[in-house]
Amino acid sequence: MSDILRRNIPPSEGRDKYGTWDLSNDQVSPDEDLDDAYEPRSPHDWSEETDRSVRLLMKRQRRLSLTAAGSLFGAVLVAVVASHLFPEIMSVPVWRNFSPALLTIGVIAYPVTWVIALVYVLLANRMDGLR
Amino acid sequence: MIPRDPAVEVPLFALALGVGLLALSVLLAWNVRKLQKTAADYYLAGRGVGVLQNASAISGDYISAASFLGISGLTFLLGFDGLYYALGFFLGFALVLFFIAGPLRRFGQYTIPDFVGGRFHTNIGRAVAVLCVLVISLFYTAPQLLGSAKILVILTHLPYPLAVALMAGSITLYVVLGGMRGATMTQVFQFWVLWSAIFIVTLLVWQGGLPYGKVLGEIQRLAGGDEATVAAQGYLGPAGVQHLWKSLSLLLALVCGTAGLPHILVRMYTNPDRRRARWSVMLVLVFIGTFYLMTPFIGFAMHYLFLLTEAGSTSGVATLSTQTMDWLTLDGQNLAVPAAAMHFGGQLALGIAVAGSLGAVLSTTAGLLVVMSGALGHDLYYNLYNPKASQRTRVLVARGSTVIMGVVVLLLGLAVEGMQIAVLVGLAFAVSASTLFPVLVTGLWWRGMTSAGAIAGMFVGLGTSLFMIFGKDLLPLWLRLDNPGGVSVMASFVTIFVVSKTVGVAPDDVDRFMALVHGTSEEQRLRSAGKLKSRKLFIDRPRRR
Repeated sequence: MSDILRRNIPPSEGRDKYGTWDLSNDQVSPDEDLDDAYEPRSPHDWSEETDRSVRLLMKRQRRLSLTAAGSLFGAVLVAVVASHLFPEIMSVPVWRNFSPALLTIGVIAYPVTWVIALVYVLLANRMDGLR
Repeated sequence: MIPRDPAVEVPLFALALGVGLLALSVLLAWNVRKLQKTAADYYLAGRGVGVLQNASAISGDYISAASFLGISGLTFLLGFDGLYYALGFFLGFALVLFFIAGPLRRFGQYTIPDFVGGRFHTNIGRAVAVLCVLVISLFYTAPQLLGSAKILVILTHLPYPLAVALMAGSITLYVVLGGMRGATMTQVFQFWVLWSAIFIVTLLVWQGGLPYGKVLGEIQRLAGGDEATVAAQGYLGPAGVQHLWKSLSLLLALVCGTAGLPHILVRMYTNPDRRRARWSVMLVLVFIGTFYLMTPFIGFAMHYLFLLTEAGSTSGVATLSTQTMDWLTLDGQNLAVPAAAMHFGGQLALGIAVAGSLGAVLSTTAGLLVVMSGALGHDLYYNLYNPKASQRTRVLVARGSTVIMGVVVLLLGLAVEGMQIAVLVGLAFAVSASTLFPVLVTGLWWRGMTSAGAIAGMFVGLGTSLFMIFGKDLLPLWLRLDNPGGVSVMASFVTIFVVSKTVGVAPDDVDRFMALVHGTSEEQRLRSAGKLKSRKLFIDRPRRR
């Protein structure tokens, strides 16, 4: 067994006094969605395959989150920096008295966020195997 | 707030709506008082809140007086710079969605200090997180109570201390009765009241002959018609490069601050699963996005009417009354929405706007009270003092904690009478951006983080943000920021990284933790059985050559 797996032993008794994430004392309703009810509780539940798949899934989730955040916040950053670096150009009305600065930061940023967030939710849930 | 003037008639419709809102909130909580059987019932509404309900409750929880009155007010005063506030408040939820909502729901405990305690197995870390939660929540509750008491003073002409006592007493009562379930139900109701209020005022302004484009064009015309002049004035356009650093720091503080607010984060636990948690945040983005699209427009419209009235124009557009001009002159930062409602819809619309602002305050304060009682009753009492307490005792302690925090909030409300709402809210955002947010994001995504790193990060974030706010005068000019988020967030992240790399080791069960927060049962089972190779997603596809 690799070093990584050897570290995945059940929590020691001493850990209880510092708090755990064991939810056994939590009342779960019988009809609760089981998608999120799994937790590897013993070394038997944990294999190298499980470890690899979790690491892979986490890596893909991280990539998806970073891609979504990078696209959104990158676009906002460009709009803000451009507004400050080129105030004359960004203040000229281009559509119904809206300047590029007002249009991007005051209006367009919102629907763009909705679209990116929607794509993210669909992909993230699909990636997790959730409906 | 609205200056008290004995000559001004008390808006009876507004009074009736305000009292009705408060009474209905208590009634809703009374209805669910017997459902609080376990700690999860009291703190998390039994983890059974649906997507639409949770999204409405989160939005109600989040949109406070600072957003309801403040965004229009800031746009009225500052113009373009006011848009940064709206955008920052909004974008914070994108960060919650991308990095926090799903994993935090799968972690599935009760409070945010639970995360620190459970992830790093440290009681010191839990206690520091409790301190951060209380500092953030108290900074955030004080202005809410201040705002709501001032509204009550306007409506009833009661003395301020009595108004504070009434508001704090009512909110504490319905949280004690209904816990998170009661708070959720009232927040849903209150959110739709406040959203409808802003929608009605926006519609009234638009239908009053002032569509968005016309308002912007007329402001340019009144400023002299010279686009360069307007840009130079910085009202409709951004200020020069010298303000870039300040704008970025403000945006960073608002975005990260939103993603670190404990009363928002704790709501992720109330969904039954991660999928619903993600959809809830997605819907929140739609709900609050539409809200933040409308509020700056009201501010711009009131600015135009203010300029028009000052110039004594005869352009055919009705100018503002003396009373409305007085409101805007004395406290335009907070009164653009009530002034717009009064100008375009009279007493009826003013009543709706007042009810909306009251809804904003009540829902936010209730959420904060639940979080503070959780810090006291769950983290301090149950986790640190008596881990063997029965569910019944825990619910009793939770209710007792709510009463204690209700009294603290009442005293705080009395102490902040003369303070500015925006300043106090800014403090809360700076502290949450620099303490809970960095710890959550790094703790959820970085295996190498240690308990020493978490504790040091929270301390440095808390210390830096408080020092940069209260010791502003001691800093060099370039560091005297309206909101120190740009510096304190970075300081916290750097501290977490450096200390984690140099002090201590990651907890030995970090892999199990990552499996818990990121793994999926079905996928893991299928993969283990060799039945699942990979899922075809756009990020997995080979690039086309």
